Amino acid sequence: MKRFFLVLERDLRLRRAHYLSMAGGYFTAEFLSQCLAYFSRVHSHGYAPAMEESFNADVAVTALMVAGFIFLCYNSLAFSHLSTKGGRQTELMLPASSWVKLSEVLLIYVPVSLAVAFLAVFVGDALRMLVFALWGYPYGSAMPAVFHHIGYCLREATSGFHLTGDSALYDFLDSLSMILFLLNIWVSELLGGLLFCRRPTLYTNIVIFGVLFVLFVVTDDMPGCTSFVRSYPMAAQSLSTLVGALVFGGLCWVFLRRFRCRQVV
Amino acid sequence: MIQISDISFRYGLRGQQVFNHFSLQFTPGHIYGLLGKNGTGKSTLLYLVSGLLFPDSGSVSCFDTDVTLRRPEVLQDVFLVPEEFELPNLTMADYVKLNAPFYPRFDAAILSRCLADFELPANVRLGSLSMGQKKKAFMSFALATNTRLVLMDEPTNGLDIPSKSIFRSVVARHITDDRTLIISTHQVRDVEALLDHIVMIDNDGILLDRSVSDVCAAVRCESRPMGSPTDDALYMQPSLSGFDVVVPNEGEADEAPLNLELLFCCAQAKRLPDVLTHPLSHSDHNE
Repeated sequence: MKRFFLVLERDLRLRRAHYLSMAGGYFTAEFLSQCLAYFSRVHSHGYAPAMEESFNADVAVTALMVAGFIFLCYNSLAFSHLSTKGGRQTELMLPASSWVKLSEVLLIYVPVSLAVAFLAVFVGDALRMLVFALWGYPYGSAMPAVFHHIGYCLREATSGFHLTGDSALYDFLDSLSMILFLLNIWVSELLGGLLFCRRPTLYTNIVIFGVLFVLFVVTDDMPGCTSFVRSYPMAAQSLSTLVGALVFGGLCWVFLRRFRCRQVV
Repeated sequence: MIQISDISFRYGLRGQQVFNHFSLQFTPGHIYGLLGKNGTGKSTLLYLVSGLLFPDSGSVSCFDTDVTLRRPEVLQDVFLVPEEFELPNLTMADYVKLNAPFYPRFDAAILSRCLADFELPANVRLGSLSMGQKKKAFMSFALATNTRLVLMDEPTNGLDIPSKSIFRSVVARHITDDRTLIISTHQVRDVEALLDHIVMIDNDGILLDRSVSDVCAAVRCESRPMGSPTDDALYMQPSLSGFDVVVPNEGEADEAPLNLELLFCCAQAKRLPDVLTHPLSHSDHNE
């Protein structure tokens, strides 16, 4: 444990500028996206206090989506300190186990990053209220709607199997598969950060987009796929979940192995 | 202490084969000079020993532990000074505060002395230094860690002329009997006075793996004037005053100074006597 905190302290100090710019990115994006979302509604509907609740609900979704998108993109940068030969020499020779180095990075990029993202949503909301109040549009806080959406997503995510549509694409987006889908993207972002030394965010997301595109085309056009889903909905749902779980397990394995076996070249 | 057993290594799937069934041993308490032409794998060997590269086959163990496991207990006893490295823009005090706790035998007094010898301020800002000054600061930190194994890749590259001499005295002072230093270099004249064991490698494997005393007992490096007989020379090359020759040491008690450049050329030409070229056994190493 002592070594873990030494690695953490060292990392926070050496990559301070990187982490501060990340936090700055969260706060700026949340503030600007919320301002833009309210502004577009005011622009199209005019200021209408009666519509505040529905505006807030829409903006809460935007705020969460922006936070989630930035969270995933930043995960591609989790191993940017290994992107140069000198960086790899320094980090790999640091006397700490691979697990300590990995868990330290994951601590910063998962729970801490999520907490910063949530704080950014909150601060962005507060700043947006202030700015719009000064403009003469005193909209209230969107945070209750944000909490409502988070609660809804958590309930949906834990409600087990249920068929939600009549095509393979809809089944893929069912709740449990949705979690696996997001986890797969999350691990792909981390793995991309290890695989692509230069511009990991760009290359990782191009690869993820390519894989998803192929997946959607294949599942949508595969002969008999839609009829199979309609005829055996539970089997199709279980199959898609199983495939998602296998992909997730495989990506985790590749990611851990890749990190453990990272070499200087 | 370091056992390299039958390793093969190439960069990538189609890269050039750097090592093919290569074995070597390093024992404690020596200053090794690792010499070889460009591309023969000197730096690669240091990376393999430090666990920064993994062999395709065979094994490298350090302190009886497979280096590819990168165990903290091993890493805290190994320090690598690469030819090119990155230092953060911190003061030396901050750098020490963040990194020294990873090395249990770190000695701040050694660091101060080394920095003073290299004429660097004690709390220098690392980001503001030139490449040569960074190297001096990093080598000072490396010596202060008191790790049992120190690996240096081209340590004198980028050092000015006085600093090369200071480097030799600093290293000689701080490499104790329980520490091993492996220096990979082309600048043999910068380090030949330091070395007590020489390892020369080429693409086919090991050309020479002997202590300096063994080499001096077997051969002599001499400068002979023009017109002198050279029929006893194992290897000779012209010099300004005549010839530089490597000749068998026929029992002369006084050891002539070793000319590593000449010896390296002699080894490259495969002209070394058999007594220097047969592989060392485990017991030879321990002696």
